[in-house]
Amino acid sequence: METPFAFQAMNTDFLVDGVSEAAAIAVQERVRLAESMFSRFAPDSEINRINQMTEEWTAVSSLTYDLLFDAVAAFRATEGLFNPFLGLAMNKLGYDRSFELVQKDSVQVDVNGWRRQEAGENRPIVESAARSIIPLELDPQKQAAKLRSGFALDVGGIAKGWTAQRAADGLMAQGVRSGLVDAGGDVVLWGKEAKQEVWGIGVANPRGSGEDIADLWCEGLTAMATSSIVKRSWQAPGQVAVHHIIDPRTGVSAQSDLLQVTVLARELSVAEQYAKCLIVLGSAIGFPWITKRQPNLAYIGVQRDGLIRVSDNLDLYAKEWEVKKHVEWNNPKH
Amino acid sequence: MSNKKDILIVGVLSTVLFTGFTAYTHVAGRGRTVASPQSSTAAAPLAPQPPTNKKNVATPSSVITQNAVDSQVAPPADPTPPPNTARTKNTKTKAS
Repeated sequence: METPFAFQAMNTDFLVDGVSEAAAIAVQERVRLAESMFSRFAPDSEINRINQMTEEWTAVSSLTYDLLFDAVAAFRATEGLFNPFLGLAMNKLGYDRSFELVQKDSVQVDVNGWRRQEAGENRPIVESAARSIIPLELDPQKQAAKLRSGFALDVGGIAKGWTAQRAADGLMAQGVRSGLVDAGGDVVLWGKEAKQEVWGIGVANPRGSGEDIADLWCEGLTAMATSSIVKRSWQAPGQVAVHHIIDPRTGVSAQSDLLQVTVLARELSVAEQYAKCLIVLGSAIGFPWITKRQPNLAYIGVQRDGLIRVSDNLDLYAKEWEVKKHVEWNNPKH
Repeated sequence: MSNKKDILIVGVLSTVLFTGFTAYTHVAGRGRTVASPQSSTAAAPLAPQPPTNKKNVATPSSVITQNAVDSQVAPPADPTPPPNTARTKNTKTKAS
């Protein structure tokens, strides 16, 4: 039986399970390479070079080109709700360096006191057509990218899951019949778990501690990604609390009724994209929207009032499951 | 003595059948949303019907009432463990 292999990359904890050590090390190398190319905080990363050379063509590796191609496809598929072009807005909110450094400078956020930003308060300007224009051009012949000025790429919303999925795809293509890659909580698994035949995946409590809000028992190709407004939230001195999921319609942190969303899909980057979209849209609009647009995706959402909402197609991904109806949560002030 | 032995055998068989039925309905559930601890909803088996009361026919020694069984035989411990208690979670999905 294989031993789980853990390592750190992309500012989070990775876990590879159910595969040989050699295969796990290969995953680690893929992830480290991707990190060097995708991080907007690494000065020499390809993403950073594109951001620095706006209005000019920048040659990139095939890995970066493929990521950008899929990021643009995700932008189109979600009508801009998943938006990898909000790097400048993120910087203006204070997330202009690796998150542990943001936290260091930040006043500790009392999530119970997290409140909505008032309309019009400190909003960075977002182009009115930001959701329809794509400020990135890709040239497949030159394998190059050109970004319009006034924009900055931020692929943090897709890079982890995309990289983990690519690593899993590589192992599957080599004939590895089962395995699991956990990229900081974005999980892709395939085949049957060696000991108990199903993979057991908990869905974390949005508080980050306490009992999981759900247990899922899965086999076969399954991907799940969780987004939350709690984990990456911060407060610059003298300012309101913000978090890292920006509503592209407003340019500021999303202010819906959802604290946390887990989306299940066959591909991890798809799960990542739609988890963020649901946080932006909220339960009343988001759940019908995803059901209509992507009926093969499943979700588990936690509302601010602690109510847990589950799609009725969880059986597409889990052989068995147990989901709480409610989680204890002190409602933040609005 | 024979009557008591028959009563004991029928009682044990009835209890085992009842327990097996309960376990089947619990494991068969694929998914559930948990609001409170679940309780068994399995119906108790019907007591066997006594034969038509004919003249000069004694009631067969195998006919007993459910109450008599309960008072004489303690049900055995449920041999089927609750589902998923032996399983362990491999990881959890969470925001990163």
